[in-house]
Amino acid sequence: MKIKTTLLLYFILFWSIPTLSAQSRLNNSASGTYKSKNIYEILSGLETTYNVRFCNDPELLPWYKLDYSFTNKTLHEVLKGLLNKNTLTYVPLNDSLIAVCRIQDLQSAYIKDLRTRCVNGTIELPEMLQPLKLEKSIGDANNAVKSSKIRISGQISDQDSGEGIAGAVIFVNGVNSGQQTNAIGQYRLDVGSGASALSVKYIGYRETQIALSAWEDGTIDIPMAPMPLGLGEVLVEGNRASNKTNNVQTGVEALPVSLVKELPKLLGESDVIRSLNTIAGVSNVSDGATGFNVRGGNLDQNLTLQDDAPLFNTAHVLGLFSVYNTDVVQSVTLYKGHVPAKYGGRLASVLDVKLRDGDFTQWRGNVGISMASGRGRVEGPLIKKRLSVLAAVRRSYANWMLQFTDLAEGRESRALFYDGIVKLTARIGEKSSLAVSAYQSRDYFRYGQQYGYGWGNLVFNATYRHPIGERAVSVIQVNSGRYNANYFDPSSTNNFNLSNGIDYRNASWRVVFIPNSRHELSYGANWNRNIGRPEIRTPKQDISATSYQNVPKDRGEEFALFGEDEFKINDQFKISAGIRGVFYRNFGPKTLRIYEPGAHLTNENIIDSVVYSGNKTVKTYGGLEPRISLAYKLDDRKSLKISYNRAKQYIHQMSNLASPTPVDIWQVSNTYVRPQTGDQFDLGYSTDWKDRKWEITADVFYKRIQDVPVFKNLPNLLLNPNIETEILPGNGRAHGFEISAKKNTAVRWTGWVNYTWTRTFVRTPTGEGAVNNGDWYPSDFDQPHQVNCYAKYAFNPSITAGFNYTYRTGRPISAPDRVYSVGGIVVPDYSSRNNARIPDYHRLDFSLNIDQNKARISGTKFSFNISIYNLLGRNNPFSVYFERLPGSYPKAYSLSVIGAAIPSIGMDATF
Amino acid sequence: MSNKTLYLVFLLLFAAGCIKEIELKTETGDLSTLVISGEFTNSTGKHVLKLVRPNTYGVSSFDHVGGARVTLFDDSGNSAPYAEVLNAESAAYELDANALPAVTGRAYFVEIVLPDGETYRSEPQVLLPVIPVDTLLVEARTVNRTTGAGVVVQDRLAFVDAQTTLPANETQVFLRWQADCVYFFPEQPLPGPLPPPTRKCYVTEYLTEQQAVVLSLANQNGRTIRTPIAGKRIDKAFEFKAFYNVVQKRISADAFDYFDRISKIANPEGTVFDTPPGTLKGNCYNVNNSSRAPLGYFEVAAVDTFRVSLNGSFFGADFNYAPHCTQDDYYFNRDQECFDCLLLKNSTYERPFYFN
Repeated sequence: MKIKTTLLLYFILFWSIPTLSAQSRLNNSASGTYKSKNIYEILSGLETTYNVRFCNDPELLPWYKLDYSFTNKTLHEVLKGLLNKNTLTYVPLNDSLIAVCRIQDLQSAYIKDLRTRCVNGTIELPEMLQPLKLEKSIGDANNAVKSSKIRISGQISDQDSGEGIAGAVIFVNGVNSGQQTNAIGQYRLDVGSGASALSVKYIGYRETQIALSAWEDGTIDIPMAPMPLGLGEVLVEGNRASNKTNNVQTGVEALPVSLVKELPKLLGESDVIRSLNTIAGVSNVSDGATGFNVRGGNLDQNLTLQDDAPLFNTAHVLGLFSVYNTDVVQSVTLYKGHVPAKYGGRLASVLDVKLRDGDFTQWRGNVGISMASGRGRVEGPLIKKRLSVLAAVRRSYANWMLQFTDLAEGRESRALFYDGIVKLTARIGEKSSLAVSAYQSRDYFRYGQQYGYGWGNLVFNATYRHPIGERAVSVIQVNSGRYNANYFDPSSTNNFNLSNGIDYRNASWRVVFIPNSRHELSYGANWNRNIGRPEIRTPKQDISATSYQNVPKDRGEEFALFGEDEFKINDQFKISAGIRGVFYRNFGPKTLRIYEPGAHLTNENIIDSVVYSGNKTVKTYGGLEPRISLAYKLDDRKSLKISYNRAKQYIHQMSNLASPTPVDIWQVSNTYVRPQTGDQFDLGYSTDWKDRKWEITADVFYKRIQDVPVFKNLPNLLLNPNIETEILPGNGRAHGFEISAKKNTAVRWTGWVNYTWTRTFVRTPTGEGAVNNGDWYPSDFDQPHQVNCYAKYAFNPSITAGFNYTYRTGRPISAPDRVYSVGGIVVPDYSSRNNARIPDYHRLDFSLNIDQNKARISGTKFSFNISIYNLLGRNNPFSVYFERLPGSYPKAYSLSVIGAAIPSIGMDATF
Repeated sequence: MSNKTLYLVFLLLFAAGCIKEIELKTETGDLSTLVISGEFTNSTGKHVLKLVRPNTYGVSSFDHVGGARVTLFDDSGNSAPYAEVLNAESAAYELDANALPAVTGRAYFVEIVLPDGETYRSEPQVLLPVIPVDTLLVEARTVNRTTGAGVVVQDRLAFVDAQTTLPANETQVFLRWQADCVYFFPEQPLPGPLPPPTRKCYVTEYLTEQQAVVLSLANQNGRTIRTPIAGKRIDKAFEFKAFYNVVQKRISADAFDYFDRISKIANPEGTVFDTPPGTLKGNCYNVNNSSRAPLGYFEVAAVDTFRVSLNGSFFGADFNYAPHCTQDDYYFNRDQECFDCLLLKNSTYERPFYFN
């Protein structure tokens, strides 16, 4: 405080005389309005309005966008209002020169230096803040064809990788609407004959400005330069209708990674899966449960991908966190309505998580800590502009919390996880690239010295992308992976270790071909092989009541051909029509049990068995999976969509639990476990509202599923060689609607609110073993009402506070409806499945984010997140169980994992 | 596996979880279903079979189904009728052990004909050879218990383990154990002149009352196994003399499967990892109408009973129990069982034959 006072006195004494004129200009009044401008731009405007000149170091100014308006205010008032909130201040230097600087830079030496550089004209905008300027010309003015309209086309690509940028916007300056690039970065735009000024914008890239002289139709390829992480998102904003209005597909949700990092966190960990639960139609069982449910679907009906490789378990610490490391995630897209034909094999949704490539031009990275884990990322060019590397690792240290418990078992418990990835990306030629990556995640969870789980994913991926001529791109991809899990119980009489898992290989080839501006074709083939790893139980000690057991698991593979066309009929109508043809086979080695014809599949009815040798086909399935989506653009801001989607699922998780354990097996379809077939109809409406600040969407859907596995009462699913004896082929149906309002672009308040009403039912065939007499009953994940609300207030873009609220109807459970006694045991009887519901779920979270990535341009940048998860301390039930206390009848108890507000802090440093 | 301890870890991680009792509203299921619960063993005494109806959830008393004709059959065509015994405490059907001898290798089933003519039968089950208990081992162990308020407390329990040598030539063996603790409890003399004579009670605590302790053993080839059966708090039961009685039953694979599942239904762990419960079909069926299947189980088992006696001195420092009863209890109107021991649950003046 003393220092600041001294400095102020210094300035008053030494700078007061020459600044009298500036002082008078500070007292001039004027009016002005600035919308979505950064401080640099606003100061430039004020220079004209008040006839002054500002000196500043652009690198030290925050570069986020602001709205700022004033009416009949003096310059002093205007500057005070503008600068104070952004930790800036100003100093009049002479009659028309005013220095603007950060409060912490307010020292005489710095101000002197700033004035010198300003007077000498040596201050320049940093390169990355300047638009990339290009001059292009097409044709010759002397030979110009007389036409008022010139059509230009070409590709907009990343200048480092050469890869086309999908979704970039190119527009003629001064014209409000632009054209968006297609899937391989191509565009087509009409401009006037002669000179035009074009701009190209895309989040994460510097704006590119083109001074164009066009006298005839022609081609211009436009490179874009990437921006540092975070900064690009605040500097560039779209100039178009929202994606949802423009997209032909229904039910596509893109979750920005920056949003994932901003949302309130549990123990300071950003989490992709938890963030998905803020989307309409997506929910999960409760805090700490594995996975997510889409529109009431089962967990295994979601295909979860990482760089197109499937992950069979996305949970760390039994579901508290997910395996996706947000430091390396580039994009998160959830397809819950229309699913592109390139994807298949799951009925409810596809979660497509893409990882970033390493930086081709400079070394950078970050380190971060939370209360649960530490992590680091480094990336950079091994060969500049040719070969990049990205490496990231995350490791938990949650054990420290266990050390504070009084309980010996608690102190002896372990909850560890790590994940790591290395990705190399090479540019081959001008526009081809090859990326290879290796990813591993591993969890170890042990309670005391009693029992525990271990599980992990291992994935190798190679992707080769190369253009075919000017209008097509081919992508060839090969994945190989393994999910393995084990359960161990070393201490009891039954001590044993149980291991299982699944190995998979897949290869795909896909071409995106854009013959003209009306068609975008995508076609290709893929092959996917899943090999169930045997379930092996081994005694853990010399003396054990259990014995060695090895249950071989099934193998299956799918061959698929697919094709899809996104066809623009006219400016109003767009169709995306695709088809996927799949041939599936279950193959040996296998011993196939033969059941008595017409009899129920029970162990008693096995009459024979047939042995199939390795690779011999045991059973085949297949069929066509059509999908079509039609969009009608009512006007520039409104669109109506309708879609139909058929999918088949050839792999099923044998879990009848609300939250699967790591060792719940994945069973491929075989003679008796038929593939699930799902048909989904979706009607959607989306609009941009209030000057495109709001994005409103509504979806109505109906879904029916055949051959969904319904488990018999008290099934024995582990170490069961005849697992079909525990399953009934059920039918499912779901219907509902989702409505969402999202405020995307505003300076202070942004956020969304969405509501979902959905009902999901299943039924089994009547007869022996029928569940609920073969009547329809609510599925395990039928949660009719769901409300999500997120509100973010930006003090400035680098300091934000957010509240997240979630409400969900409690999920169905089976509650006892009568009681009886057998052998002295009082048995609650559950004669009706899913006849009750656990209490509803409410949760309010808070987060405060301080993120220098969104303000500073260079140097090490820090970001902090302070979160309070479950702010109201509600006891949201994780499950309900029934317990009979001595002398009493069984009573229902709700069990909450998180029954209090959980504060946390996380920090990240980017360099 | 104790899945509830998963929850405990979350609880430890966050110090924030909790358990609370809730009310769930459901419609009452069918209360007219017949429940059959009985056993036939090689032991002496009476074989008991109970026929009851289920009750509304929340009530633990069950209406006896009287007037039925119950008959035990073996696979040699022999049969013996049960007699209905009605008394104040419980009504049941009983069969004297001598009425139809238990012969190893022979199959037995029961037939029940209700007064309305509806007939039920159990699936025939073979009486397997007895596997004897080698010995019982008792020791004090610490276990954690989560209270209804979600607080984890530690209990010091006297555990009894059964040591059993398994047959060498059998690939698969299924065992089930039941255990109780019977202790001696003398009354305190009432203060004052000419007090009435004091009496001595024998009190039974059923240690496996709500749980079926079962084990499936494969390819053990004569191995000796030690199985924890049950534990009870080290308390007044050991002040004088107590007996642990363990009944080891050799059961069929089907019975093992039934009791293993029934135990899981009756004792859920309370997490999302719990197997969703459902109605469990037993080994009985309705001869007239398959849609009206009964609940319950008729068990045929080869049993061996082993007991061990002990008192507080066995536990050393773990037994720091002051005398439970003093004459002060009378003045302060507390622990009335000290002066009327029949107030203790499952107490009797009748001395078991193994108390001497």
